[in-house]
Amino acid sequence: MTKRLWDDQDVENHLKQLPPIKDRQSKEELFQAIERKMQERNEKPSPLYTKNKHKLTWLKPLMASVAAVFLIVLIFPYFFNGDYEMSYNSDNNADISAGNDMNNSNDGDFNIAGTPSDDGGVDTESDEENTILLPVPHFFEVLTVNEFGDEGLYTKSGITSQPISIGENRDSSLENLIYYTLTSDEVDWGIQDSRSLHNEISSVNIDDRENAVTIDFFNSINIERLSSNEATSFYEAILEYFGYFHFEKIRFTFNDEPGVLIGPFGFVEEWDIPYENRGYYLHEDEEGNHYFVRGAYVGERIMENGELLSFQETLGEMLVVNEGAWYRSAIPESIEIEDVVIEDIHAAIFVNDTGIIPTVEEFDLLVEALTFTANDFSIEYISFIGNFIDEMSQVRQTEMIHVNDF
Amino acid sequence: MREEFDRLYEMYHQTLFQYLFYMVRNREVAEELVQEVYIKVLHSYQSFEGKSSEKTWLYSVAKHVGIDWIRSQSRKKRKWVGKQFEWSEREFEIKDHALLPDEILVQKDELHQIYSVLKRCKEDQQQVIILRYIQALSISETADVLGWTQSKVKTTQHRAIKELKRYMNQIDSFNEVKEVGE
Repeated sequence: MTKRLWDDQDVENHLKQLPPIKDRQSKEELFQAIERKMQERNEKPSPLYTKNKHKLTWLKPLMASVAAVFLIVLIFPYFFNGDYEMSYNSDNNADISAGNDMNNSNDGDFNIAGTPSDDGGVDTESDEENTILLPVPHFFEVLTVNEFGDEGLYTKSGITSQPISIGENRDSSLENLIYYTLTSDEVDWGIQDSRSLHNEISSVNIDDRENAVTIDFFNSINIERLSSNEATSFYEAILEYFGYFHFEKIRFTFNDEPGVLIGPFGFVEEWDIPYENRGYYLHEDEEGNHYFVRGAYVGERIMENGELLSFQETLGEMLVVNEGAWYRSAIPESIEIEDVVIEDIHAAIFVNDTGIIPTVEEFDLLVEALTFTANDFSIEYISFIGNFIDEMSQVRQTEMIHVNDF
Repeated sequence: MREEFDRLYEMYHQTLFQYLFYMVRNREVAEELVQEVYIKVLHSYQSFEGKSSEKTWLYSVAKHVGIDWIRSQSRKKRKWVGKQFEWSEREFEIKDHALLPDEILVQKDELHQIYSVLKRCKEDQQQVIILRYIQALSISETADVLGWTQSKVKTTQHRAIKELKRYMNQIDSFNEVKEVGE
């Protein structure tokens, strides 16, 4: 017996017959559950938590005093010897990998694109200051259509690599890098300079177990006064920036107590970082500045069948963008990704033989987009395999390009 | 707050619950998520600017809540498994009625199958199918909820139907081969 084949109409008719599903909670139960949850979220910490905090109030100053005495003992002889440039190499390169476990595999460069530092690429070092290249949030306006179909100039956020001065501080732990980024006047958090947070944040702490970051404020004058636009931009920048580092939650505390008033958001204890990164796309402003935007943020496909895309699938998605998009693919048009072979921490990207990269700048942008993307997978190095690299390898690194792993 | 809740409940509750249910495919989760939707809506009701209709605004809040939950589950599962979960090409062979809600269990087999294969569609395709065919929203309402153009809704709907048709034909072929074998 041969069965009939399904046609579009059959499928549509069956979909329409799927039964209604009713909520079995009563209206009253539902309202009580909502009220309870709202109340729980507004409640102060539990007595047990407060008790623990009280313990810390005497423990912390004691530890700080001990640490201060210890530091004085350490630092004084050091200064008297005049030998405090311990993190500089003899060839005058700022070796931020000294005491820095996030970049221990390269030769002193902290170069997100993996380009050699003597080729005119962005230099990650400074002779006098401790300056490093970090991904930072950035805002720009684009002419596009909003979610309600209205065309206009809308503010969008992305990330870009920017040299950030971390002053004399030699501690390049991720906590410190985040702290400097949050408090740096060089970074655009979507808030006016007059309301900069540089004098409000006391510390940044990472909880690896919960994949969360806690930002502790000791002053909240500016954060409380954020306008509606500033608060929204700040929220977006937080999602964008901390999403890059794969955190799942951002917690706010004031002098170690949960919650801070953030403009119109009111009292905020934590924000979820809802999206995984899956692919970066490129926006170029009128002045030629480049920003990378996350696929999840701009509504590009990042999942299939409820699962996040693989590295290879993500690269496939990055080749083209949604219709009418205000950003573009960072992968030149003639390039096709034929295969990606991942071995342990290395991804070899096989490109079509006819693929060409018109300029070195396009190559740098491609590398930057791909290393940003690879950062979301357990990939530490990428290499290109294809005809185009013959020419490019004379001016740029095309093999074993380091992916910064924060 | 109570008055606002009563009004929203009477007007939209069962449709929002149904939407969340078909998105997450679990009654208990949908119950939790619908509470989250109310919390978000009641918190931000004053900021609703009326640029879209109240109905599509509520749907779009529910969509965000549902998608956030789905992604958080994917993340948990990915961490736990330690690698990307791969969909079995022959998953439809496994008949697990425990996964079907009561309302669907009592329906004919073909409805069980279409409910099951809907999960195999891409996330954006599932959204369009649920909104268009199960929630019976118009193209323009669906576009509003998803923040897409109407042409994107039409294209995605077309592709989704094609995918579902392919899966349903696969199931029929498989069952046919099985019957012959028996």
